[in-house]
Amino acid sequence: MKKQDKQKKEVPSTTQKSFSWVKFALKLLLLFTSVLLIVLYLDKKGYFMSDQSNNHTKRKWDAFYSFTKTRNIDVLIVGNSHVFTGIDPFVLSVLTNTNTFMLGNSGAGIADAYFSLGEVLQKIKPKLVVVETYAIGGSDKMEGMAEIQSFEAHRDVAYKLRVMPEFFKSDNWVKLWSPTIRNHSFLFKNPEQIAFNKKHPIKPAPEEFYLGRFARFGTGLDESTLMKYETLGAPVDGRKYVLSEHSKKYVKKIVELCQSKDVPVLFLTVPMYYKHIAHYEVWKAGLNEELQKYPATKWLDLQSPYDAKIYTPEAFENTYDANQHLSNYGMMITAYKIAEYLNRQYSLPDRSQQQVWLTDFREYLGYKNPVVWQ
Amino acid sequence: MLFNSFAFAVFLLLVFVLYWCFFNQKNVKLRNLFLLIASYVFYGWWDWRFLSLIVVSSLMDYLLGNKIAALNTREDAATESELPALKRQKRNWLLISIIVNLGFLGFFKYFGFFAESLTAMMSVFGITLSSTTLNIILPVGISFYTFQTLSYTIDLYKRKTEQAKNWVQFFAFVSFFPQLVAGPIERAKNFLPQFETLKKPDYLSFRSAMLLVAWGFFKKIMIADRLAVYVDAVFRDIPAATGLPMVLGLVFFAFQLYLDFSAYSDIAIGTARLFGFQLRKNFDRPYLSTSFGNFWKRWHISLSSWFQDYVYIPLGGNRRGAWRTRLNVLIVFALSGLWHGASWNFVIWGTLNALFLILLDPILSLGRQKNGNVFIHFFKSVLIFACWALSLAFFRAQGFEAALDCFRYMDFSNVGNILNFGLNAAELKFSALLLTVLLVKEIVWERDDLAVQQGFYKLPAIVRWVFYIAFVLSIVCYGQYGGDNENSFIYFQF
Repeated sequence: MKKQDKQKKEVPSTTQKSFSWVKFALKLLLLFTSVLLIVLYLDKKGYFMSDQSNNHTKRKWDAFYSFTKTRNIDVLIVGNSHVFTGIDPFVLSVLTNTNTFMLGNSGAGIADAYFSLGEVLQKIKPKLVVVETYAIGGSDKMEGMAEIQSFEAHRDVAYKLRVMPEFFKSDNWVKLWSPTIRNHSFLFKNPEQIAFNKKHPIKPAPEEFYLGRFARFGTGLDESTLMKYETLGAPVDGRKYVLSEHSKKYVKKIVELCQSKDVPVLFLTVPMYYKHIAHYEVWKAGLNEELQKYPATKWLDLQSPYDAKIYTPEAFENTYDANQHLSNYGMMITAYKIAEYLNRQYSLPDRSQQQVWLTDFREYLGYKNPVVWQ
Repeated sequence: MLFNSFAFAVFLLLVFVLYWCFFNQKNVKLRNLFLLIASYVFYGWWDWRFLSLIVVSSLMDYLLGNKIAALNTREDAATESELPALKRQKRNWLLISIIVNLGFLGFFKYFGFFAESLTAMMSVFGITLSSTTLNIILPVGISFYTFQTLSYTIDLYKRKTEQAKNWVQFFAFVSFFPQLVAGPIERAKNFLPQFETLKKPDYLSFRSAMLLVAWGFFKKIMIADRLAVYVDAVFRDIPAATGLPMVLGLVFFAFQLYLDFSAYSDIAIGTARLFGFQLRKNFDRPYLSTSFGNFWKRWHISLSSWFQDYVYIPLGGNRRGAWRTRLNVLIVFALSGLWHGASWNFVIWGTLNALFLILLDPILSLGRQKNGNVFIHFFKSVLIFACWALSLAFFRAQGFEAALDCFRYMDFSNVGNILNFGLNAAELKFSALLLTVLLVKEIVWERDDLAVQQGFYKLPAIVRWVFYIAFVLSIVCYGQYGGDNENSFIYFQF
C-alpha cells in the first residue's frame, strides 16, 4: 500500500463529533481510577508486603501508638541501631522510675530521627529526648529502606503528607504509600513472599507492651576477634570522621524542635569496644565543636572516658566490622550507666508508686537491687 | 526533568490544562510564549545554567535568519549584477551561523576530546603538550537543538523554508519541550508553521497520543530498563561475561538502545500531539530491514536525514562516481558517530556501519525476490541485526580495549553463566516474551494497511477499556523501576 493511502487512512474523522472536554476528562479519570483501585486493593490485601517478621520498625511504632493511648513517655530515645540495640528501655525505665521508649531505627540517619520526633512531639511531651550520636555523621542518607519502613510505620497521614517532600524525592512519593508499587519486583525476585502473604492475610497490630527493645547479640567478643585487635589494630579510625552539612542541619532542626516544645535534649554516645576505635579524640573533637553550638543541651559520651571496668569484651557484639553494637549484656549495663546520669542530672517523674507502672514493669523490678550491678 | 518522573507527570498535567483552558484560546503569540516559558521551565529543571546557552543560540540564529531572509527578499528584486554580492553576503551569514553553532557544540561537547586526541597525537612524535583540563558541563540536548537551529538557517539560505514570523515563534520552535532534549530533530519547513495557528482539541488525536505515550513507557519501563540490568552487569565486568552472556549482552543492548530511544521518541511525539503539534516519526521498525541502506532510513530517521541533506548531498552524494560515493558515506557515518559522543569509539562505530553499508549491501541486494520470500527477508534481517549488534560493542563499552574485549570474550560457551547477570531465569523468559510482543506489534499492529489497528478500534468499548487498564497495570506491576539505578534515557547523554 502506498504511503499516500496510509496517510489517508490515518486522518481522523472528527467532523461528525465535536470534542467534549468533560467526556475526555471522565475517560482519563476512569482509566486512572481503575488502575488506582486495583493497586489499592492489592495494597489492602497485603500481597506485596515485605517480610514483616523482622519489621521491628513497625512493631515499635505500633507499640508506641498503643502505649501512648493510656500512658505518657518520660524519656524518648532516637537514633540508629547503636542505640536500638544499645539500651534496654525496660531496665532504664526501672532504674529511673520512668516510662522510657526506644524509637531508634536501624540503618537510619539523623534525618529519620527528626522525622520521628516531628510526629511524636505533636502527640506527647516527654521530659527528655535522647539523641544517639552515631546517626550524626558524614552520610546524606535520606531515602533508604530504613527510612521507607519508618515512613510506612507512622500512622499520622496528615503529618506524612506534609513532611514527605522534605525527606523524599518526588519520584519516590508513590512508592512510599503503596507496597504494591514499592515491591512490585517481588513478582520476579521474591514470588515466595507473595505466596506467603496470600496465605497469611494482614492482621491488625496486636496491643503489645513493647518499649522498642531489640536484643540482638547474645554473646560478646571472643578470643579470635580480640586477637585481631592485637594483630590488625582498630578497624575504625576516628580521624576519618566527617560531619556532613546534612547531619548538621538535622541536629539543628532537632534541637530547635525540642526547644520549641520545651523538651530538653541529651546527646548520647553509646560505646564500641575501646580497641575497636583508634583516635577517638579526633572524632570527639569534631562532634564537640558542633554540639557546643547548643549550650542548652548535654552530651553523655560513654566512649570517652571509657569505663573499662564494666565495658568488658562481653558487652560488645562479636564483630571486627566497623559497625559494632552492644551485646545483650552491654545493653543492660549501658541502661545502668545512663540511669545513673539521668538520675543525677534531670528531674524526671517518679512513677515508682503508680500501680500502672508497677504492673507494667513487675518483671524487671529486680533490676533495682544494687546487688545485680555489683 | 525525565519523562519517567513524577515531576514531569505533574508538569505535563499543569501545562496541558493551562494550554487548552487559557493560552490556546485567542492569541497565537501568547500561546507560543506560554509554550516557550513551559519549555524553559522543563529545560531549566536539569540545570538553570543550560538556559543561557539555548537562549543565546536561539537569539543568534533568529537574528542571522532575519539577515538571510532579508537578503532573499533583496535577491528577488535585484538585478543580475547585484546577485553575486547578495549571494556572497547570504553565504557569509550562513557561515557565521554554522561556525558559531558548531563552535558551541564543539566547545561544550568536544573540547576535552580534541585536547586529549591532540596530546596523544603529539606524544607519538615525542612532543609533550601540557593538558588543559576544563570541567565543562555538557548541556542536555545541545546536539539536538543545535542541529535543529542549523537546519533553519540552512533551509532559509536554500529558500526551503519561510522566515520565522517573530522571535517568540522561533524560540518556541527551538525549545519545544517534548522534543528538546533528544529529538526528533525537526525541520523548520515542517515544524515552524505549526506555531502559526491555534490548535483545536481532537479526541482521536488525543487517543492516539496517549496510546503512543503508553506504548513508549511500555517499551522503556517494561523492556529497555529490564534489559539494561543485564547489559550493565555484563559491561561492568566483561571477562566475567565470557561466552554466551557476552553475546546475550550485546543482543540485549541492541534491543535496549532501540527500545529506549524509540520509547523517548514515541513519548515525545505523543506528548506533542497532546498539544496539537505533529512531530516526525523517528523510528520505523529498523530491525525488520533487509539492507543496511534501508536500516538507516528506519533508524533515528531525523538524524539520518539531517546528515543526508546537510552533509552527504552537499559532499556530492552519489553523483560523483562510486569511489566518491563510498568516501562520502564514510565521512557522513564517521561524523554521525562523532555526533553521538566525544570518543574514538563512536567514530569507529560509525565507520563500521559505513563499511557494512558499502561492502554488504551490494551482496544483500543480489538475487532480489520480487514477491518477498519470508525466509530470505528473515535471514537478511538477522544478518543486519547481527552486524549492527556487533558494532554496538564500540558504542557501549568504555574505551577501545573494552570494546575489543567484547569480541575476545564472545562465544557460545558458558551457557549456565547467563543467569549470573542480574536477571533470573523467570526474568529472562519474561524478557524473551516481551521481545516477542514487540516483534508481533511491529509486524502485525503496524502493517501498512493498518487493518489490525482499525479492527481493534471497532471492538466493543468494554473490551478496549479492559485492554487499556490491563496495559497500564502491566507497566505498574511488571515494570523495571524503583531500583537504585537511575533510569534516564540513553540518548540524553548525546
